Amino acid sequence: MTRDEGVGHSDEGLVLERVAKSFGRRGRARQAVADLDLRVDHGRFVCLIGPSGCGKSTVLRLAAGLVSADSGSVRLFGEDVALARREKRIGYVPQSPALLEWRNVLDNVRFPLEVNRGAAVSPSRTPEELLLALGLGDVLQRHPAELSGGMQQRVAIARAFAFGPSVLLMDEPFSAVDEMTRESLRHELLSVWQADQRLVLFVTHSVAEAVVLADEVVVLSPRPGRVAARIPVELARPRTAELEDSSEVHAVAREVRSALRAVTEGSQ
Amino acid sequence: MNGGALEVADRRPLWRGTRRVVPALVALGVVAGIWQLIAVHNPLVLPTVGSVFSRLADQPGLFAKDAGATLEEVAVGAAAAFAAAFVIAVAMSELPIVERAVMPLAVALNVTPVVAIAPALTVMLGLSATPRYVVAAIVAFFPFLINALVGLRSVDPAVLELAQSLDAGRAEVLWRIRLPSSLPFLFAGARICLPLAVVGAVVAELTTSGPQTGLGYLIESAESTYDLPEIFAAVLVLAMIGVVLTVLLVLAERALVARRRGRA
Repeated sequence: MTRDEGVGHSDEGLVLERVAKSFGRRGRARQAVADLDLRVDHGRFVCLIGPSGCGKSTVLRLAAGLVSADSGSVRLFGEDVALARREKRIGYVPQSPALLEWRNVLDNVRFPLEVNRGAAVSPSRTPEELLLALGLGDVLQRHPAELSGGMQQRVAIARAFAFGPSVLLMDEPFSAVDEMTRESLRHELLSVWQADQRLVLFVTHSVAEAVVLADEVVVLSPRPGRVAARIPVELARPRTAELEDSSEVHAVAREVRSALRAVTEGSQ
Repeated sequence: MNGGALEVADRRPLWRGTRRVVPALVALGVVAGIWQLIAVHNPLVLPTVGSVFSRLADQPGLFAKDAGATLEEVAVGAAAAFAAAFVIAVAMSELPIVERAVMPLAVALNVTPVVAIAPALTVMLGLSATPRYVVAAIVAFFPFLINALVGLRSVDPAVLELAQSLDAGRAEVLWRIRLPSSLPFLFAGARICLPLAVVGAVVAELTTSGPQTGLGYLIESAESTYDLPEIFAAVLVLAMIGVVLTVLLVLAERALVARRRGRA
């Protein structure tokens, strides 16, 4: 098994192969994901979108090694995802900021560096640099309760980047903030990501968000979750805030919406 | 914690302005007035407010010595109870089998009237202050155990998932996440349990034949001479001990935990 140290050494990024996962007791088990195949190559930003209950979060949690698949395999860089997790190569951003309320902003971002020290990490930027890049330079010593929801989410993003993970897995990280904040968060995320372009799998239920962020939008069909469509987004990077209203974005968004409509109607 | 946390906590006075204090003082005055009215007409049922205070003023050394003895019992008993309860709560939160094994015993200890155990403790442990420490500890143990356990389990599941995604070890999760999460619950537990430990210490002084000290002992000896002013003077001292302990806890909590809730 090859241990890949950076971008481009191995062809394989994140690979989910014929993955199935169900929850609940036997007999009354609910199939969350069935026969799911998904490949995300190195340096790619992929958004996962689908109607609610389609297993988006389950896919992300499988990719993070937080739950294990009933069958099929989940690999990161050619190795089992459990190993990648042990090596601290996964940057996970949950739906809520999940900040430690007794720590200030800076110490929250340092948290991933303090645990599982056995794993070698190679962050390209210090926590301070990341927080500065996300516009949080003035609040390093503040505590989470003193920050707005958008600021808390920025801290969570800085925390995910802080230890230089090979992959970022984000579970609707902007779902709890207002639309204006959301728009600026997208572009801040992109500008932080732009620097070293790690593999990102980003779950969202916003079509506009998916199109502006992603190299590829993957549409999941519900019950059980399967890949229904893969829509490439061939827009130049870096992507700016002005792009949000461009006709290219609208064209791709239309395509994603019709794919979403197809899976929603198909399931009813 | 950084220096800023203390600054913020210190800037807020315990009572914000007179608006907070005045209603409490008025209520206290009304109660004292009614008390005095009853006491003047029934001197054998209630001592007058003045007689209670003059008793305190006559022998401040006596009350201080007995208050010190009771406080020592409270401190030793509560410290032992908190330490034991916390260690057991950690074991319970880490290993469910420990909870299944120990919790029924803890519940049984909690529902057993402590007054019933006290005489046995005197026989077992002798005429020292030890039975009083033990009684104070028994009373304070269970509520603190429950609070500590709830606190250790109060962690946001998303935070635990984040730790899991980093493959943080159990010890790291305990030390860096569960313990700090439980801190507000430990303070809440202490606010319940310190006054309970005072009750335990006084009950033990009343029921065990240990050293002839403590406010409970003072009450008992005053009872034998029908000295109501002295009894109520001792009760007043006990009430003040409870108030002071609570205020100290609130201040400590402010300094250590307040920052989490933000400034608003």
